[in-house]
Amino acid sequence: MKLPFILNGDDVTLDGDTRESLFTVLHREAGVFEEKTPCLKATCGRCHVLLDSKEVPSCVVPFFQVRQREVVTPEGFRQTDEYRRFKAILDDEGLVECAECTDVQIFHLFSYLELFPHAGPEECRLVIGEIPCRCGSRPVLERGAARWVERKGAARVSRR
Amino acid sequence: MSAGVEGPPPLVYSPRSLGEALALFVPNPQAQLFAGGTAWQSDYLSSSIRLPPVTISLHLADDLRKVTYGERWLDLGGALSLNQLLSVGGPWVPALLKDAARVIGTSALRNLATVAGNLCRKGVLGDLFPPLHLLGAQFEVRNLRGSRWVPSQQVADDGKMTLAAGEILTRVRVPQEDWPLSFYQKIGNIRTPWDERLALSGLARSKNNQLEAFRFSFHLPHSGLVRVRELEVELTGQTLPLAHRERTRALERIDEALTQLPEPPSVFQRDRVLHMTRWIVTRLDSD
Repeated sequence: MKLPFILNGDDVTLDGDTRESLFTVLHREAGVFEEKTPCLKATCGRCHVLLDSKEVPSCVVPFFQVRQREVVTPEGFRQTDEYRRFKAILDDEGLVECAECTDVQIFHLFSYLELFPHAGPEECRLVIGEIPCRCGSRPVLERGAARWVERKGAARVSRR
Repeated sequence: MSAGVEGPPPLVYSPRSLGEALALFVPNPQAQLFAGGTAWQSDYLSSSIRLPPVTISLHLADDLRKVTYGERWLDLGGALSLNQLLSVGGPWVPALLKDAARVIGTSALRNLATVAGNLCRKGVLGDLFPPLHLLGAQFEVRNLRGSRWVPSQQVADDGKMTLAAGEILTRVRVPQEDWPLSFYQKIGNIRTPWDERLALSGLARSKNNQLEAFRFSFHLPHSGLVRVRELEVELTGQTLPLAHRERTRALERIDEALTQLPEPPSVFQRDRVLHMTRWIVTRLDSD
């Protein structure tokens, strides 16, 4: 079954079985997630993608559901200006990159803040805690999230 | 290509509306619905997606994702995702329901998981059900011939949402009532052993230092939902702060309810239920 969809801004047509997950097809056909071994239980965050701008674990999304939709992977997200701005804030807060979780956390947290731009500190803490890692970068991410929410809020006010 | 999947591929339909979805049951009476697919996957974890031989996927049926609200009730479409539910601004979605939705899975899973998917999990009551039951919700179930409303009490009595072949849970109707105090506490998640999981829900409203209304339930996965109506009746109308006698009586009522369960709770569950009941009773006084 060949399905057309948009992958990181490009029109693509990938081949997969109805029962395969989006993760499996992206990994095999498009070389995405090559360096990562996800849990395939929708809990580790390593296979998350944006599907029509909503963050989803690609290991539980059936491939047939992506027809004519837009998929952005963490690799694609890293090419955006929004990523650079968010990362700059985190770097400013003293982020020490963790090979296991940093990319996943940034993608996860940014996606959540896009959906819930008024998220409070407690809410952000819960969301950051959804990605399991012991690297100790959570306080940095929490501070970065608070600054991002504040900056976005200020931008909204100035637009008015 | 397609390594890891064997046998003929299932027949998958992706209807664009409720009408189309219902019509598909005529030639395919054995078809099964696929909404967010998250509960489905947690039941069958593997590298491929286990689909039934004939699947009706609801991911394109936008009319099942509507939220409508008025003075008397809030209507939630069955295929509304949990994050869409959480994104509804204003006072329309009761805090109790949002508190329950917020602790289901991860944020990414909540973009997929749907309201009806949570309520129709095979053989168990989903996490949204206890709050909806306390709120007095009703569930609209439709087939090609028409629709019926299922009261939450019926689902609580059955211990699960029962749908016949060809039926879809299309709407959840929540009465609009003012509940200034709500409590939701969930212990455990999908990786927690059954005998350590538990959820408590409570609603309360007071006026002039008098408890005007009080609803309370706890949910133990193996025993189902327990609503302690004797306690609700006893506490309603009481003056706040509650007297020591009423507080003690409340705990005794909960203990009695725990003792009468067909499957006794674990020591941990009993301890947590009593501890949280004590906490809720204290909150009633302080709020």
